[in-house]
Amino acid sequence: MEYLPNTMCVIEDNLSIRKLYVILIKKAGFDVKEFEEGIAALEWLSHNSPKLVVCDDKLPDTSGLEIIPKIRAFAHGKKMPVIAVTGFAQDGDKERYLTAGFNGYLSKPITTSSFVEQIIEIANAAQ
Amino acid sequence: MNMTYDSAISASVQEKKHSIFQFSKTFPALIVLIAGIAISIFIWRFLGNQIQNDNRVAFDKATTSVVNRLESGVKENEQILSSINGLYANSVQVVRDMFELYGSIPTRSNNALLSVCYVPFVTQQSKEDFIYYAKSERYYDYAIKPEGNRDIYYPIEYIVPLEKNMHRSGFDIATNVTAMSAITEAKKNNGAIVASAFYDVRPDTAGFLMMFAVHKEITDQLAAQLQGSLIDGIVMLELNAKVFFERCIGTSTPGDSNIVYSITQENSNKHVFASNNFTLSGTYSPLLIDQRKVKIADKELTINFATVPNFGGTFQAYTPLMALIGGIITSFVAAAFLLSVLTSRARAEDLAERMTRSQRRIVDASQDIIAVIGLDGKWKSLSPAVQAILGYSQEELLASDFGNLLTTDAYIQQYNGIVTSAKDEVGTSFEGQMKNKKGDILWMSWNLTVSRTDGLIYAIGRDITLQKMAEDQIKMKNRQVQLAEQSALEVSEFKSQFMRELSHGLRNNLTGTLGFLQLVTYKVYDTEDEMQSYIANAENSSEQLYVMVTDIDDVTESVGSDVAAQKQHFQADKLLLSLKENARTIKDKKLSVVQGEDSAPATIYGKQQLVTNAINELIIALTGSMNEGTITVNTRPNTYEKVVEVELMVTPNDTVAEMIDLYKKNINNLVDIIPKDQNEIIFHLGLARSMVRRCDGTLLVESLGKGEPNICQITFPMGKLTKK
Repeated sequence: MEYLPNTMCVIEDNLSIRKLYVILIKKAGFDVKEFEEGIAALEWLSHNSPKLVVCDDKLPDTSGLEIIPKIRAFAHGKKMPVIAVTGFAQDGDKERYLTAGFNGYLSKPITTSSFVEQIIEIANAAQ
Repeated sequence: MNMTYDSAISASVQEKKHSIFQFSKTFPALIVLIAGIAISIFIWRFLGNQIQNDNRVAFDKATTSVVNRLESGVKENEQILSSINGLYANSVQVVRDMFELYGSIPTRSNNALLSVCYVPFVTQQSKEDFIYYAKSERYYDYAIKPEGNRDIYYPIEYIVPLEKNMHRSGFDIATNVTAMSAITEAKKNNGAIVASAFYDVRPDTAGFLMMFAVHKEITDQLAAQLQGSLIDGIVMLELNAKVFFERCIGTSTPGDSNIVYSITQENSNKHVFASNNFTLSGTYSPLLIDQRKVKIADKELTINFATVPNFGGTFQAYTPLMALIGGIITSFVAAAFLLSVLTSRARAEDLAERMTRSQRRIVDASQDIIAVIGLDGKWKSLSPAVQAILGYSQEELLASDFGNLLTTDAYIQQYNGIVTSAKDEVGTSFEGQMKNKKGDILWMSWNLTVSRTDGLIYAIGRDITLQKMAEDQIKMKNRQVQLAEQSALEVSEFKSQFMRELSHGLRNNLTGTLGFLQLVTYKVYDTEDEMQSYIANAENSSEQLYVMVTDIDDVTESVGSDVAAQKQHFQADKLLLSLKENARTIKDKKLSVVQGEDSAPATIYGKQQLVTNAINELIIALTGSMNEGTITVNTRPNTYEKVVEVELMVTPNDTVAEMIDLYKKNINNLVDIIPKDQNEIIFHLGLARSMVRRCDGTLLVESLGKGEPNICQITFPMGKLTKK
């Protein structure tokens, strides 16, 4: 298992949004490991422990809500900061994600100027 | 003549009464009555006579007792005189001492005797000699009273008790007319005792005299005549009448209390004595009266007897009448009892017939069919209501089978089952459809009471067709409401899902558009090319947004907030297991669910329970009214369309095929065709369709034709197989 404290994992199926995340994270000085599908991300996370994970809910092969318990099942995944960034922003969604095991929740559209700060803040609070 | 039912029944009752009380059957009671009355009268007369006789005997006894006692008393005094008579007859001369000796004895014992005296016959010529003689007898102051010269004197010479009668010594009895009359009689009667009439022998004392004449011892009657008399004198008893009677009769004896009497002397109505209770006389009418004669010497007394009031007692007086009344009453009671016994059977039969008539009236008037069925199922009897309800006359159905009217074998089996298993004499309900004479189908509700003792089934049947139609209406309405609710739920979920998807899509695309524009705005780029790429990405996101907006249908995937939380990936095998389990629990159906040969492993994405419910509804719909059948389930993944295909093939059923055609033709207005639904097939198909759509699936139902299986093809979103 490899600790990657300077790497953020992004799981997002929308290409534009994923690119945006990568640009913002890299601009902030971090490395990014990006995934379009959940299963592939899980495979990588099983062996790696990044600084944090940014995860969308609606994925082609699975969902964020299905991924989070699997991440938490990893020995190193229990305290891994995982933040839900999703377009589902109705009443109850935030509570649902937090109850499912996410450390934080951000609704789309994000604020580009503060996005990285927000996710780092959530990650630090989780740890 | 118009006769009402009531008057006919009434006339029948009267006729029946007449026959029950026919003389030929009831004459023994009449005989008993007549005999009883006759015996009562006889007893009344007998008792009356008996009582009368008893009274007469008692009365006679009492009166005879009085008479006997009086006669006895008279005899007693006569014996005194006879005794003194004997003295004179046997003595040459009776002197004072002798007279007083003999005379004192009776006066001491007989308190009725005022005196016993000797009254000599004295003429005027012999008066002085007599007085002299009397003085020589130690009557030193003797003088004849009242003074005066009379031709004949009868002065009291000797008298005892002298101390009480001193004043009487020398009294000339002849001066008293009554006494003189008696003396004259005594003289005539040759020594027999005579009695005087009753008079006041003393100034304050009523009494009478009893006397006899002492005749001279003269052989020469001529000489006696010359002397003026054949008698020497009179021996006389002076008696106190009251004391005399009281002494004789007594003041009260038990028998005397029943009688009232009075004693009158000859030729006089004046009472010389009466009973103590004689004051009652005249105040009542005596039951018995009698008159008896008693002689005191030569004088006859009349004693008038009468019974006292209430002689014999009031009870005794009414006893015969009471016996008569009691006897008559007893006669009537006995006759009535006998009449009751004689007519009891006839009356019981009449009562049973009347009860049966009244019950028959109830049965005939009932609007329900009241019938008796044999255990073999044959009608034994039916009420007239069968004509009105089933159209058959009673004669048409009698001896036919109850089951012939039932429309299906299922109903016949149900009826037979009830008859076989019903508890004896306990009512059981049975509802089933029957055909009337016209061929119309009716719903009939039967209350059946099986009596194995009687070998009969007592049945009451009611036409509940209207009630069933109303129930069916309500069921249909409920189904319509359920379908409408499902549709509304479906619409609501779709709406929620659509809005959620729309929001998600908008947010996603706006994230790209706004994000990259912000990067450009805040100049977060190092090169022109980088800026251009930002703009290109923003444009790309905008285009995606445009596509989404113009093709909203593609976005409406069922991912509602709450619905999304329940969706899961599950193996189709689990679905099959659930279906098998549920099929076992479907009431009154013997269904088996089997996996088809074409099945392949597949994963469904959706709400497992909703998917299972949808398939169950389809199974219920496709099996229709079948009691048993086989459902073959095939599940296959369609990776190209990313769906799981579920195919149901069900045993052929023409009704289901018919309903499937109707369903397909009215797919968009199922609520309106519910009234034409049979066995709720269309209803369950509608529910299933709605549930499948809520699962983001599709439903296709096909009938391959009459006698061919019926098929459903359903698609559900494919899920992801998880690696173990």
